[in-house]
Amino acid sequence: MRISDAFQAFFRVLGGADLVDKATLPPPSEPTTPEPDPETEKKLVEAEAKLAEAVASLTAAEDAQTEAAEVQFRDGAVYGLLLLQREGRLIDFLQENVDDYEDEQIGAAVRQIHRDCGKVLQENFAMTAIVDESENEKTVVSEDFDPSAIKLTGKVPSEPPYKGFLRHKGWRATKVHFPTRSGKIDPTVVQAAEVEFI
Amino acid sequence: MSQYIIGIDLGTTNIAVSYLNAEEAEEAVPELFAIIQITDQGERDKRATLPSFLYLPDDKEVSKKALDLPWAAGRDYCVGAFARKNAQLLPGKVISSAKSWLCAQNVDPDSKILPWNHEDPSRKISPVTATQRFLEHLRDAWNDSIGADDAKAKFQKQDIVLTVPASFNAVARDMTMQAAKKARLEVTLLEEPQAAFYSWLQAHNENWRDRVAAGELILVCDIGGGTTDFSLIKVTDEGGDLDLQRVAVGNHILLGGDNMDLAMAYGVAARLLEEKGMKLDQYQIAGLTHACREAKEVLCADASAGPQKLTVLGRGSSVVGGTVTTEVTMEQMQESLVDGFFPLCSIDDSPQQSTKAGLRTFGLDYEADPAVTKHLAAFLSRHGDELPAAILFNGGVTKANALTSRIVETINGWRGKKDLTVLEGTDADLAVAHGACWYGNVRQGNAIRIRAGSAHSYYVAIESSMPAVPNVSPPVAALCVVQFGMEEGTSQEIPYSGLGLVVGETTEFKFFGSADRTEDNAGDILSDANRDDLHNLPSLSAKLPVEDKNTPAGTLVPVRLRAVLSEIGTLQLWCLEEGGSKREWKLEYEIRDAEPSDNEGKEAEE
Repeated sequence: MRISDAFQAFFRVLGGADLVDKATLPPPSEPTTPEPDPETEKKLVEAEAKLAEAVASLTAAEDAQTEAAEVQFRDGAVYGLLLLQREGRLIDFLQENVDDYEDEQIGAAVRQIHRDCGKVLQENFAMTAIVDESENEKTVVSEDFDPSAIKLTGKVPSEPPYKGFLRHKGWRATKVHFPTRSGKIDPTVVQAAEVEFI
Repeated sequence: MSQYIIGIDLGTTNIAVSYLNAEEAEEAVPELFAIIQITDQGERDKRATLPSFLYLPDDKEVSKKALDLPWAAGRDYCVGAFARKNAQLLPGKVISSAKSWLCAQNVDPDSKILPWNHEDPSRKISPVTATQRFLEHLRDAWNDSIGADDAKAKFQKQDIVLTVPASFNAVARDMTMQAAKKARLEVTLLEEPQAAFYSWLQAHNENWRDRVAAGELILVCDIGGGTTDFSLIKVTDEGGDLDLQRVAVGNHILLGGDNMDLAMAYGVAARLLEEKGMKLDQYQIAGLTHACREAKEVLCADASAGPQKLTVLGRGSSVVGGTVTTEVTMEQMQESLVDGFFPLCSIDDSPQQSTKAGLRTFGLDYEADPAVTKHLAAFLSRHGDELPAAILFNGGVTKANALTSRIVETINGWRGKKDLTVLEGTDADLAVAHGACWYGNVRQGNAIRIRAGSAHSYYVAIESSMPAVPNVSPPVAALCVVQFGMEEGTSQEIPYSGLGLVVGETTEFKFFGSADRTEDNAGDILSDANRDDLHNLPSLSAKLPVEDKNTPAGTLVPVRLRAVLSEIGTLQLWCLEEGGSKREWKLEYEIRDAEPSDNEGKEAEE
């Protein structure tokens, strides 16, 4: 790696495009192959040492950033559960042993849980069908389809047109809207315990 | 000129804000401002409305910084959704219906009394301060979004119209203005039913004149979550063009949709106890009330709807096991809501005035009689023989067809013919905010304006001269200073001499208002002020400075009174020196800052 390239990469990561312009070495007008002399060699070694140090700290910063992103991701996932529990009691329902209840009793609770959780899906995730057509009817998949959004099964043709039957219309969260959180909140809490004083 | 015109519907249970760009005023349609607020501890989000609840927690109840907002670090209270959520779980810590406390009788709205049941008196605040907190929240939420980057877009720089119940008397309006002033806002007040009517005018801007006729009376029937408000608007012919005049407003009726949901829930709870021996706790009643509201909406919208399931999930983690389920039929809804709250009645009916009713749980003067139609009959009878030819519904309750058609049926019964026109085209939940916004536009001369006069008459007490009798205090007479219908934005001198101020001393006048006495003229004297149709307002006082050598301390200066009724319905009374140097002194409301003594609290509760 040429040193100017290394610097450029370093500054691009650290500070964005503006810094890169100022830091680009050498300027275009200078000779491209200067005579090696001991002074320059020494400076080069020093600069490379500094560069290695900078790259190490950059890596550490990136690791910290990755970890922060992971924490955020994890907290966000738990928060999604929190919303489904708070508005729709979903965790209570899934955690409960329903073996001993009559279907009628379960049905009564589910009807309410279903309605309330549905509101969360709409308001916080805007859940919509990926292929908004009737299931088990003929459909045509466009040539440039995204395999992560549409899964082809059965005898998949090698060339378009991809004509098949829609077996599942798919679901997509078209937005993820979470309220803003602040203050000293334990992110692992899905439902706070409640103690009443009477 | 301001950049925006903002309309605020400061509701008893919900606050809505709408705005329009002032430069596009003529074509602009008001838009709703989504209000960021605390939705749970440590969580904030935007909502279409701000619930009018204020939560004052203990340190133990919420985590540190959990009520902070981008503009407020270390907050120890919150308003909005989270406060409402706690209203039932922590009833002593949450203020609700602050607005109704502004006009509660025998309660000083500037004294620290709320939440009524709070155990720590040092945490209590006044209804005025609560109102101020709501307005500050709107100001800061706006300045955190629309007003964030541009000094000219700041909330306090805009033309703001704030709605109040038409039943608000001059003192309650003055208190609202003080709350706005403390929130550093300059606002214009507008009566809510008028605001709803402005929203209708806006919806029919081109052709409203084709929909009503000169001489007709229009009833605005506003049934919100906590209160019901009536107004009458007269269509008049002014040289060939139609004009509008608000001719009457009703009393502050503390009866609304929340009462209806509760009534249904308690009916169902009583049936569960009777039939299954099941007793519900407060938490389950809250869940049941919510389920009843949803069932009510379905049953009232569709006359052919079958029985509606009511489900109350278990409170603990055993959600299925603890679930209670029942149903409510069309007949039961009809009985508890339509016949319970809107019974067919005669125009001569009036609501029962019993003071021992179930709804009376704390200091507010809840209605003893839940029959909205009887309150309506009494209101219309008070204001002459003429019946409305058209009706405009407003408020969440009026989205229910079963209820509005019962009101129409009742009025048609009184009219003796089935021809009451229902004015349509407004949004029952947002018309007041939108209409307030539109009124801001109207004030700039862009559309027709409703003329309004004072909806109350006002009186000051004067001691009648009679021989002194031991142990008998002389009856106090009442001098009318503002007559019903006095035009807003005018002033008048009261043709009565016989009042005096003592130099160097504070002279206090007892002050009364009435929504019922429509025939008195300024200067008339009622021989006894202690009567049912006058209610007490905070006293007025004036203090003459000792400044003039010719009138040393203790001198009696004869004065006359001048009443000034502002455009927004607030009232100023001035004392004018008779003869001499023609000096003037303003009478100020006597507002006490002190805590209420136990005695006062009880008085208000009774």
